[in-house]
Amino acid sequence: MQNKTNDAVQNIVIVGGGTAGWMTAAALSHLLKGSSIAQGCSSAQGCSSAQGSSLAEGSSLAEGSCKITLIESEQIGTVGVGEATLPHLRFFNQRLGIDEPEFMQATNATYKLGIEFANWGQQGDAYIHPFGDFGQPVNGVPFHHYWLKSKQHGNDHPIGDYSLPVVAAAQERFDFPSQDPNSLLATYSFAYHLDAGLYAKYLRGYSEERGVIRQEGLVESVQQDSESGFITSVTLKNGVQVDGDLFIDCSGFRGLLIEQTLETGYEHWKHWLPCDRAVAIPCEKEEQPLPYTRATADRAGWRWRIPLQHRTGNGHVYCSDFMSDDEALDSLQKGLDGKPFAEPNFLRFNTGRRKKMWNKNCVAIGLSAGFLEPLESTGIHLIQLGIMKLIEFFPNKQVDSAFSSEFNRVMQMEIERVKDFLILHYHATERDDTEFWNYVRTMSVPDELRRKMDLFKQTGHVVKYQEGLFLEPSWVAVYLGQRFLPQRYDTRVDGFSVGDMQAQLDKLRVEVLNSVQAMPLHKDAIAGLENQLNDGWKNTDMSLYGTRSRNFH
Amino acid sequence: MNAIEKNSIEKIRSIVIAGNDIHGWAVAARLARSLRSQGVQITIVEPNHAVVPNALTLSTNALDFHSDLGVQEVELLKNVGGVYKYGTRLQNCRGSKDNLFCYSPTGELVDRVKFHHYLSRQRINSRQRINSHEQINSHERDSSPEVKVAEHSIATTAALSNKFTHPEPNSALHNIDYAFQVDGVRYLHFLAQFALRYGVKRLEAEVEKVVVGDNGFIQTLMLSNGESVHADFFIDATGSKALLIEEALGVTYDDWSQAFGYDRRLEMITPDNSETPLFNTVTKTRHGWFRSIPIQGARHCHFSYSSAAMSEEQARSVAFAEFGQPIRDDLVSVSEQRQGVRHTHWQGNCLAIGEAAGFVEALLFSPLDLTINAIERWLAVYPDKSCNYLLAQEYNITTRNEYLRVADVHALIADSNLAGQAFSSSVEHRLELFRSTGQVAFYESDVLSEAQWINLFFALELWPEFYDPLISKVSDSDLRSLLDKHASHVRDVVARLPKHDQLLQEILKTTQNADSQAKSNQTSARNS
Repeated sequence: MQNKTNDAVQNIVIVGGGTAGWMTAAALSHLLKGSSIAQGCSSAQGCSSAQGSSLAEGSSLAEGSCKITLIESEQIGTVGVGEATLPHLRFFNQRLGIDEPEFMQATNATYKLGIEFANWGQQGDAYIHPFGDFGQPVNGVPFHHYWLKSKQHGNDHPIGDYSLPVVAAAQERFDFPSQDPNSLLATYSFAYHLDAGLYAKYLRGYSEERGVIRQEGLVESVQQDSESGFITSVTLKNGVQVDGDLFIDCSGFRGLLIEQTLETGYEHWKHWLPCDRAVAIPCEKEEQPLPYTRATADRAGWRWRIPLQHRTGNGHVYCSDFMSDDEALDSLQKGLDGKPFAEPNFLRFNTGRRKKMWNKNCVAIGLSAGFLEPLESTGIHLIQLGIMKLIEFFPNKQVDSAFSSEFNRVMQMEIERVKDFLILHYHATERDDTEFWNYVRTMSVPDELRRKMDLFKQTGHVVKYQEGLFLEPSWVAVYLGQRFLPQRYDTRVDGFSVGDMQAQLDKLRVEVLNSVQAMPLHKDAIAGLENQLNDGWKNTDMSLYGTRSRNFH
Repeated sequence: MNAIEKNSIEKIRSIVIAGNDIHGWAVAARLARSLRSQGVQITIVEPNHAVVPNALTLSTNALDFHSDLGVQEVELLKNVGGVYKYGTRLQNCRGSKDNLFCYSPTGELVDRVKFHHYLSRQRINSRQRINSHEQINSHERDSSPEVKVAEHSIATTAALSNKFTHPEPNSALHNIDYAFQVDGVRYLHFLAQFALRYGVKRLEAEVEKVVVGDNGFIQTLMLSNGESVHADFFIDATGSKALLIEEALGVTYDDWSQAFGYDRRLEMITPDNSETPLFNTVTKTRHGWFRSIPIQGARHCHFSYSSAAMSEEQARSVAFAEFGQPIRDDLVSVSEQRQGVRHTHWQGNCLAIGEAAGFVEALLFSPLDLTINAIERWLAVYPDKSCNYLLAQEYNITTRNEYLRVADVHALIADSNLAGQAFSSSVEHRLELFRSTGQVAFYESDVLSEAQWINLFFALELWPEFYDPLISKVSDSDLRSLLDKHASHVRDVVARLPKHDQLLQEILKTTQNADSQAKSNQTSARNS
């Protein structure tokens, strides 16, 4: 038997720049060509043993011969706007050996502790979905059951008062989480608000330093193998032909390779997530950038507000069936903090997912793979996940379908669960002031989401799963923040007297408050980036909720 | 808050466990401890019968179980004749020879690449050398002496030389996982005493009649001693008789026995004074499955066979030939095994556990392992008296998934033909993915971790044909020296570990101090 299985991919072609293209190029150039760098043992298992690093010593592993070409054109704009991210991006950057303060300066980034949702459950309401948990379980019963009972007995503190990142966000404070797992200061994680265009530019420099070839030009035609249908090359308008073994489609919504060439098909979710347009405008920043994103529900969608160091990113996501472009722009302009910096940028999108994100020898990453509105800042995260899974299932030259089928199965599971969580934001509402809200409030939702919501409504319990981005604390934040209160709490709460329980809750609330008041202001943390007071935070993992919440992943 | 219907919530005030064996007592102990401040009266009803000598092999989840009970490891081992366990020895399974499956990961990440890819690469290299001389037909396995997985695993190497250590944070021993094997009779008494100390009430009687209300909830058990017991919630631990869940509530059993090929189990105890191994043993033969569990001074042996293939008399002689003569001839028992699962495990106000819930011979897991998981799952969705059906649904979904994953493990080890079976299996996908990519497929409610699936594939001599391309540029000589260095590192680490039997002797002599020392080792390992 001839062993051809490890016939390595020689040529990777990435079609499209932008955040998806350059994140992919950066990660592949680092991992396929990278020397053994110190970050090699960033995982807890790797570092804690003396043996991990010593073994790799002296053997120069993986000095690559794999060529990576990225094709992009100055003529095609990118969708990059101010973007809010998730804590997982820190893990990505650290794997690439990127210095945190340098990266933050290059992308005008600020810290992010969560998202404030205003006017969702009802007009005038507001809550923060934090990167962290609320309280902690007592006797195996999650904290929110205790809070529900205390609320019944007159406690009018919102559950956010028992979450450190919520209180810190509200007080505009920021500090790196503690490494002591017993500390309250270990109950949260953090992410960034950044300028996605600048991030792509930063990663372009990073990638080109590591040998990625940037090919300027527009793709004119795509060549396929007549038998297998595999893509063999793309030909540009200027006549250049680029051959490849593996093609990464980062061409955005249109899916130049995955759809226009391979006709993979798309599953539409408009009936559950009806917004199909957005308009974005950057504006002058307010006095001090806030350490959280704001998502304000509007008459037929919602408006985002993302604070960067030098300006504020704003946008309005809306449903064209219920709102015109002019109305959407008008509403967005009225809500700006300061003078607009640019003309409004209108976007159209189809919420849904590509039926196969990996088809033949083409992997779609970014908007070509599917689109979910940025309500929970999942855009860059799904790019990152696609890249990480691609690296995990990195194929041979023959691109055996075993790689793509598992990649597609896992990515579909992830995106479907994010989808359900987004639908929850629209469906769990009392708003009845517009046709749009009447529609989303009364629409039928996916069966699995229905089951999750019914279980919480009737019992206060959250459906558990292991794999997935948003786990119990996130579901609790949105349910309770949007007036979707359970009819019952776990009866084991009654094992404590009301007085004892209230005293414990008060104690926790005061501890949270005191801990937050000892934290520096967010603006000082940002100012520290310039004068090296801040050398970044080295601990990362793939969790939303901080080190103390290990049980959630 | 008007949303909470304050008056309609009634908490559970009484739980009755209809017991028959250790499963009932495991539930009783855990619930008694967990619900001790809840004012719940827990009663266990069980018939009076002598407990036959037996040994139990537990899994890693027993550590959390004991810690949730607040039981110290040393105290436990002293009381129940327990020994340590690193894994399971698999003999002739799926055509493989004789390998050890251990819980602990094999090797560490090297240059961000999982260790097993280096082993795969080395094996592909050595096969290519062989192939240049002769053609090998099997694409699944070979017996190439060039790659020895065992010498790269600290736990396996230690187990093979009867050495044991607890995990130690920030050292080469940081990810050692272990479990226990215990004297089943003493373990049962330990759990029973624990439960009684925490206020569980024991009634010695048979369940004669189960009274079910119009709402489908069980109301009362009428007992053989003339008493009747009422409760808000009932746990059916009556074994395969399933007196509550099946006889009274009519919940059916999904029969999976076709996929397993055996329906009888012979059990016996043989004397054994050799060193106490750190594993139990599973052996496949043409007659069926042999399994043995070591306890101090003896072995508990199982022989699973098909009643269609041999009589009980034949089974006895086959078993004696394999295991030797039993300690006591009258303690050789044969029972019927009906592989499968209860259609729903929680129905109304009744939860089935143990064999009443299902019986899937997983080879790597014992039924008690699944009971321990089941109690935790139930406590996570603890109901009020009304037993909302959505809670039961959530429990039933996750429980069924776990049985499916357990059946997967069996199917992989036994190489069962699963075509046309009544349940869906992930084995084919897992195998194909591992074979062609070296990766482990992810499934919810899995019973093995990624590192453990890799260990199991290797123990069955199932190899990937592909390794991570990140290491394709490593030269053959660098690879060989990396693996040589790793194997010698493993040997060095194991050389300084204590003997298992010596450690067990020390534990029997321990005082309170050493006890808390072992306990703190255990705790810090878990937190690391």
